[in-house]
Amino acid sequence: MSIFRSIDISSSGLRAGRVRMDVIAQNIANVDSTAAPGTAYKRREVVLLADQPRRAGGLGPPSNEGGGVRVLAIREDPSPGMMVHEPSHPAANAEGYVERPNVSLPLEMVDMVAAGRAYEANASALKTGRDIAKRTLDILR
Amino acid sequence: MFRDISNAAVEKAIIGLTRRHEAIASNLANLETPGYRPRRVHFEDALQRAVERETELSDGGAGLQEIEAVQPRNRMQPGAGGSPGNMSVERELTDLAITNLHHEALTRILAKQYGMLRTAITGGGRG
Repeated sequence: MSIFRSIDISSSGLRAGRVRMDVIAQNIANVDSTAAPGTAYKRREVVLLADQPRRAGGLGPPSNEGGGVRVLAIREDPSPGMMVHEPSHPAANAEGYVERPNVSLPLEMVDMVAAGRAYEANASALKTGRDIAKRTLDILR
Repeated sequence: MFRDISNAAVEKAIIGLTRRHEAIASNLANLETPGYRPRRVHFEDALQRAVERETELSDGGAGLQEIEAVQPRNRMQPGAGGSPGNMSVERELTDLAITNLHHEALTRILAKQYGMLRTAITGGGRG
């Protein structure tokens, strides 16, 4: 139990938020990158996992205390992209089709707003954690 | 000699609020984690009962065991696990603000109590 535990927790939330934002930016950047069928860019999403602190110094059963959050993986969405007939495209196949990425711009926008809000919430928790630690240390003065 | 019921209770409450803030930080960090169940920290009721029992004992706070025995308790909110979006960010942020204010009030009270002791020790600066 350190005085800075809550700051560690909030910073894990900020880190996860930044990774989410990176992945969303990558999806949006690739919204129009067509490629040969089967090789198109696939939308990526972040898989989050709650860090579960354990009782008895990390060996016991999971405790009820909250922990931080961890980015478990960045997963590709396997759903197929739309096929577009574009025979002049350098990557077009024999039938003249290219595959568009399975990125949906409105979905990414909504995710981006949600990720931004979550980031702000973690930033205010971090600020409060800093205030609490500072006031606790000020008792010494 | 320097500890009585009131400053022991204030210290316990500060510890409880710090734990509560950790739980809120965790809830906010896991705002979008599937299956996460929000944590709540409880200590006020137990602390109040301990203070009442301690006052009844009226041994001048010699022991303070009742207050010392109070442990902030973490609870997972039952049910509603399994899907993201069972968290209310408004509730967490409100709790965050309230916890912060309580903590500020209690640290000031504790500093005031220590300040009074210091006044007594130094004879109000006239000694």
